[in-house]
Amino acid sequence: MSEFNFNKLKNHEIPDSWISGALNVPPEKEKTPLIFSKAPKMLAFAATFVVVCALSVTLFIFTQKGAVLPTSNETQNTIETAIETKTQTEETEDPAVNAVETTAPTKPSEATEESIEESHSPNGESKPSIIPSTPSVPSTKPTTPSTEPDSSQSDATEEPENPPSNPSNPSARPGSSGITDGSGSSTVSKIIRCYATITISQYLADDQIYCALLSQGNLEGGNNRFPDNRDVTVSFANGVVHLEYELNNEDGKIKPGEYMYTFYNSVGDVFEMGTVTVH
Amino acid sequence: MAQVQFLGLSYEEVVNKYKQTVGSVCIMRLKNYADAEDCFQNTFFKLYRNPPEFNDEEHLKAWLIRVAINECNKHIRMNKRFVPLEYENDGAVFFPEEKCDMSWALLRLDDKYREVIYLYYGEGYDIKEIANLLDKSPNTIKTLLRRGREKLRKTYGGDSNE
Repeated sequence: MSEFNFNKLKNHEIPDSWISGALNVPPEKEKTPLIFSKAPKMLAFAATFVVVCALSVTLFIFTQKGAVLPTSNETQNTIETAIETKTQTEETEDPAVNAVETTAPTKPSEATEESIEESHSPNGESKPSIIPSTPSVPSTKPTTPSTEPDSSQSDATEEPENPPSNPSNPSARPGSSGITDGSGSSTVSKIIRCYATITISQYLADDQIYCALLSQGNLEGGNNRFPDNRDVTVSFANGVVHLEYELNNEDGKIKPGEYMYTFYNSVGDVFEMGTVTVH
Repeated sequence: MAQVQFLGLSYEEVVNKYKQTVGSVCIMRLKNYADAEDCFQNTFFKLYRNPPEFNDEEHLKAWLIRVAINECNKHIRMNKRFVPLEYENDGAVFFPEEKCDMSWALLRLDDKYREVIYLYYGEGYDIKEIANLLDKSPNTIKTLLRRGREKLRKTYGGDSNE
C-alpha cells in the first residue's frame, strides 16, 4: 500500500505541442452577416412568407378597386357608346322595333292621357304602346312643368342635369330619381310589357336588375333579371338607360286588371315604378 | 501576433506560467490527453481574444481555472454521446502508474471528488476559494473533500496526509 503524496499531483507533463498550439492563436473568423451564415433557410422562408402576404394584400386591394372600376364615368361612356352603336344598327334593321324602343321610355304627357291600350302595326302584329298608367301620378322626369311647359316627347326623354332625390327612399343611390310612376307599360295579347327609364348614373354595369309585378302588394310575376336572362332588357340612348321587361302570360295566370310593377336591383334600390293593365 | 500584456506579462509568459495549472485541470476533468489539449488551447485562446480586467495574478489564475473547467464541461456536453473505448474498463489507461501514481488514483475517483481534491491539494486553494470557483457552497466542498479522501483511501490506500 503506497502513501498519498499530493505533491505528485501537479507532475503532469504538458507536451510542447500543447504550448505551441496555445501560442499560435488562430485568427478569429470574421463574423459573416446573419443572412449568409445563420439559418438561411429560416430567412428564406420568412422572406417568402412576407412576399406572399404582400402579394395577397395587393391582390385583395386591387380586386376591391377592380370591382369599382365599372362605375367610372369613362367605362360607362364606353359601354353606352357601344350599345348605342348596336342600337342604331338594330334600328335600321327593324323599324317596328325602333318604334317600340323610341316610344317605350317616353314619359306620358297630358296630351296622351287617354287610355291607349294597344296599337297594331300594319302587318297585324300587335305592338305595344304607352299606357298612361295613372293620370293622378305624374312623371317625375318633368318635375318642373312650369319651367318647361312645352316639353316635347324627345325633351321628356332627356335626363335632367340634377334629378331630384327622393327623400322617402334614403337608400337610393346618388342621382337616383327614386320611386317614380308612370314610366309606361302595356299589354300586347299575351305579353305584358313594363318600361322604365333611369339615368346613366343610377345604373352600374354589373347591376342585376329585377322587375316585379305586384297586385295590392302581392307578387304576381316577374322577378326576372338582367343580365342572367334577357327578360329585362337594358338599352342606352340619349344619356339614359331604358329598361324593358316582358312577361309571358299565355297561361293566363295573371288575371286581367291593373298591376303595379317595380324595377329594382339586387341591393334593393328601386329604379322605377309604374302600372300596367292586363286585359 | 500582437503583443498583449496581462498584468505586465506577455501572452507567452502567461502560457508558460500557468500551463501546468490549466493542463492539470483539463486532464483531471477529462481524463484524456487529446480532449484535454483542445480545452487547454481554447482556454488560452479565450484569454488572448477576450481578456477581462485582472486585479492581480491570483485573479488571472482563478480566471484561467474557471475558464478551463467551463471548456471541459462544454466539451463533455458536446461529446456525451461518444464513449472512448479506452474508458470501457477502468478509466484512464494512458497514465503510466509508476510515474503518476497519485494522479492515477485520482483519475479513478468520481469527477465531483477529483476536481475538489485536485484544487485543494494540487493548487492549494482553500475551501472558500474552491467554493467560489465551482459555484458551490463551502459545506458542499467540505463534504466532497471528506468523501473524496475516503474513496481515495479505499482506492489507493495510505495516509490521507491532511
